[in-house]
Amino acid sequence: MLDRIKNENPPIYLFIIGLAGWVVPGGGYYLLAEYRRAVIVFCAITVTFLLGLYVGSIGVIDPVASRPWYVAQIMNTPLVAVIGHIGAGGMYPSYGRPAELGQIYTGIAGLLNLLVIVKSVYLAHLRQGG
Amino acid sequence: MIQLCEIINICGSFTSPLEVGVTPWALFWLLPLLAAVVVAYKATKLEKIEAVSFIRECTVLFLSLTVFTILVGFALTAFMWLVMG
Repeated sequence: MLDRIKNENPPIYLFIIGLAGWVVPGGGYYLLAEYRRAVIVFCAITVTFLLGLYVGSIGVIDPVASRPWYVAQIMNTPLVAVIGHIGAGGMYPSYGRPAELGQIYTGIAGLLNLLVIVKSVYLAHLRQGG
Repeated sequence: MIQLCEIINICGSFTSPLEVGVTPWALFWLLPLLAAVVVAYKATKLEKIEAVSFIRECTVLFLSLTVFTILVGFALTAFMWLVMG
């Protein structure tokens, strides 16, 4: 089915690759049959994100008070919005350095995933051309 | 088999922040982040992923970035000493 979309509607195919990479880190590469790359990227980004959450608690995902960080964090996966909704009530505050470290880890993981999404979409585009 | 209480304990550990002091040791938190950046970057950059070459490339980049970061740290510290007296 993916091949049919690829041949009949290239922009939608690229969109699906990008979306897969956003929903699950490395998902775009997986759809492109780059399995090793997908697994490495998935492990690196997920471990970084979870380490950030562990250090700073889920309070580091704060769509209200830390909006710039939230923009970077939501690049990880749409699940961040769910965690943000849970944390938005202020039930799990995170203070001082844990907040700082947790935000850096989760934010950088999100930006890494953005890089991976762009690269996987670009790879899909190159393969279409070939 | 993982028990339900173990799962709840694991989830619970994500709801309270760790104690991270303002000490020189806190700088070591840089290293896992650097490793993750290196691995993700090299995974997107290399044309073909093979274990030996991937590990070699990652190690070289990781060490280069670590040394560069240490040098920048020394330079900034020296600059601060000069400015602050």
